[in-house]
Amino acid sequence: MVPDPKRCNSCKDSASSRDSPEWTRPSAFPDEVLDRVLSLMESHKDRSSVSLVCKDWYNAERWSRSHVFIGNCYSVSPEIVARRFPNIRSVTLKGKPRFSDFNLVPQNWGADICAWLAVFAAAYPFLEELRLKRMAVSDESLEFIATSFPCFKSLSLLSCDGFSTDGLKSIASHCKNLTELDLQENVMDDLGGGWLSCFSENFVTLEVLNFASLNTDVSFDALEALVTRCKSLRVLKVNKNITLEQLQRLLVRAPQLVELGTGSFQQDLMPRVYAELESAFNNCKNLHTLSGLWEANFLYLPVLYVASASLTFLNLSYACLTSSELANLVAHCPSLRRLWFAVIIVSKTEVLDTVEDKGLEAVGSSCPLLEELRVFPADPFDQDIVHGVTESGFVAVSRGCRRLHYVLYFCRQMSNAAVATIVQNCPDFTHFRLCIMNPGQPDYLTNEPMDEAFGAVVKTCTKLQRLAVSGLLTDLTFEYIGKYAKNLETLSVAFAGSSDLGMQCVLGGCTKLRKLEIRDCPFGNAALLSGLEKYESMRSLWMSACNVTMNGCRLLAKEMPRLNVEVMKDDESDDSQADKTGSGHQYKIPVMTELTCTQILKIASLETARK
Amino acid sequence: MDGTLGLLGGTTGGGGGGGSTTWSASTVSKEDNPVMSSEVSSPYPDETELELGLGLSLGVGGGGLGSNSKPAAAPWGQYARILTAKDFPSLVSKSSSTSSSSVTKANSSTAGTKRSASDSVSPRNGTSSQVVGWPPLRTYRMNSMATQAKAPTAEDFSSPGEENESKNAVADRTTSGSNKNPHNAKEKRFLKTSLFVKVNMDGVGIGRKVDLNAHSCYENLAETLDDMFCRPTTTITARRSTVEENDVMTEASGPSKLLDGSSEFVLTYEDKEGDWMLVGDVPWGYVASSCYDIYVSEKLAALVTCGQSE
Repeated sequence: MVPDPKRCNSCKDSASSRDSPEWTRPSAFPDEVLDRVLSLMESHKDRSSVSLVCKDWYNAERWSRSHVFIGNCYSVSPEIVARRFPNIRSVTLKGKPRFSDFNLVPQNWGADICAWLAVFAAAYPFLEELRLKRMAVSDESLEFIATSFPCFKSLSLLSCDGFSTDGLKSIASHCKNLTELDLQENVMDDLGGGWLSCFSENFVTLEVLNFASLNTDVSFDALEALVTRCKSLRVLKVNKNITLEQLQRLLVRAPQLVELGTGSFQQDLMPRVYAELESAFNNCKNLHTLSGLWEANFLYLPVLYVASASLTFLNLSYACLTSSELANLVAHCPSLRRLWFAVIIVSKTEVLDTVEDKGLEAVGSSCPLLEELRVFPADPFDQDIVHGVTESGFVAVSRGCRRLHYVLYFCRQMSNAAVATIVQNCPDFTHFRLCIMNPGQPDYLTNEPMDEAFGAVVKTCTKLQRLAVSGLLTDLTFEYIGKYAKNLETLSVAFAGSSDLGMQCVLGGCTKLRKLEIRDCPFGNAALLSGLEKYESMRSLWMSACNVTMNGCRLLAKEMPRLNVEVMKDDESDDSQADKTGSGHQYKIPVMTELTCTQILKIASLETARK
Repeated sequence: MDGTLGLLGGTTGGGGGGGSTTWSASTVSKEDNPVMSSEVSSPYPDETELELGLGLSLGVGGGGLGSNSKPAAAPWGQYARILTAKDFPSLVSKSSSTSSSSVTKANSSTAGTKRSASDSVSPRNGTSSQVVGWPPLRTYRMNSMATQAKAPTAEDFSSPGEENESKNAVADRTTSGSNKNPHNAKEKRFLKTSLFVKVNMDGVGIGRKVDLNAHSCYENLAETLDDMFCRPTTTITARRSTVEENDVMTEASGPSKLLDGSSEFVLTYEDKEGDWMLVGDVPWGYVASSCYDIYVSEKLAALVTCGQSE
């Protein structure tokens, strides 16, 4: 069997170095006290800190830890995890780089769960929970999970790929104690809805069921029966094939729901259906989260009003509401903390270039408690349509929602002045992700770069943890970021910067930086190598379509043997590339790093490297 | 099914080139209400299939693309095809069976290095759709936006010709004419589909059309009707003498003059059973959910049902 070069098979266990005598000190606390304190400690960052104090504390901590979080599955081997933490019940694993969501990572790149499962089956027979993000998960792996862990309770798959509904059948059939099945935005083969019927008639423990992203029908009778007998069900998110009338029947069975994802929210208006639906919602006294709402429109949206006063999270991103529908709805949601929606183009009679902002104005005036706003584009590619939200919508929200701290905003135009106003209104941003959809677009008012906008963000928002920049940006933006964004942990950059200086400023200035993802920027080897000391404290670096060369990567790998440096090369034939880029091959360089990796240098297709 | 390809209206331009392909404007989808007057057609059902058909034809056969060996294979090929449509004046009609295969392909494309056919086209204004993985949206979300086009909604009853006439049409869409129509098709996927109903005023020989879905409440509708019939246009002016003989309508009317009884005109509608009902008693949604014709007459207005919408 060919060893997977990404696995750190020969890595020395760093923990063993702590067995040397000087680490042994008498503990100031009796073990019972320490254990008791540790049992209350859940944050893995805190626990990591505890484990560094001394050997006793390290051991106490490792024995008491029940949940392990691995942000980069190539940073450590499963054997090392199993050796260090003997009592794990719950694992969170993240695999591929985030840009794999946008198809920048080749298929079969890796992040396969099966090696981990083999180790877990031996080391953690009582494993209860697996939360996987961007991992490759096959049906065989799902079956393995279902049959190897008799206490298994909770499966969450987010943005994973490689499985089908057959794998779900295994889970449903074998996991007798399942409490959670949460499937979000996976790339999976939807072969049919028979999987839901595989839950046995005696199965009553389900608390969370989310199959919103599946495309085929499930047996409604099976679903209704399942919802009926699972009295603890608190999260139910169905897919869009569930009709309004079916939804009403489900709600009647489960008025205790806390989170609801509806199916299709549209049909011809029928008074009886309307009344029954309204009554069902009226009985859901605990509803805090609402999503789904496919094709919702003014016909049936009002049934939600009876339940919307208590809503804290409203995900309308698949609902495609008009501005007036949105305005009417949020007017009934004074407790809203989180709002996601997609901008649509309203009908022809309305003024088109600002009407979407009116929806946001309504949000600003109706939802003073709003903390998170995500505005997705409804039509990402049609440049000729001058619609969508502009900066004025964002400004309007910032005026009304002073507690806003998380924003993801896709727009077609932005100005430096608007961003400055926004962050002045809302200085507490922790996550600021602005996507001006035309790459390299300047301030539409002044035609200048957007440097001052992001300068204002980092100067004003001292708590900023995550930043995504866009628009026309020079190195000045990155000088600002390096100088002011001292709490920044995640930075996403695309089509920006003028020279190596930009990246150097970031690497040198952002002391807490953990994840850096860069595409289509003029950063080269000097920039890459300027972060040599930095990378070991980071989770990952991604650079694609930049000016880095193979030699630069080789040098990086040579200088930092504990880094996992990987170069992915396009294996497309030249003619499909040449016209577009003019430069032939592109080097994609995800540099995955963590503390304890041995040197792994993988360079694909070296023979065709041009630089 | 084939009819859907023909339904993009006679003005389908296939993009910026002004369009050399003409489509049959009279084809009506099976979802159309047969009671509808013949002038209306439904151009928008099954748009996704239509769009994919466009993408495939452009990628494989049409327009003389350079390296078009990967038709609509990128995950957002079905979006990128809009740009390629702009650049290629001829559209080849393709059956939707081939288009459906590109849907599954789109999801399973390999690395972002795979370019769609549009990528070899020189960028127009640096448009983002030609850049792989941009804007940064998950495939699932982008596919969801596409599949929403398939949702059966109330039909849009405006024919392309009518669009040009209707005062409600947005200037930048109608004036650019055929160039815009592929975008219209795509835009309208996200438009609330319109419910155009005929409006006739007593004493006025020429009717108007109003989009019920463009109005969220009675007040809006009344305001629009006010604008249409009480602000004199050239057409109506000719008739005003007739109107003026019977209690002149003042021009300075508030938004709800038609509703609050203060005007000389009232709105009523004829419901499905043929009874005349005063407008305003039932929630707006009840009225707007079916397709009615509005007849505004002195003292009496009638909304006549012209058929059940989808």
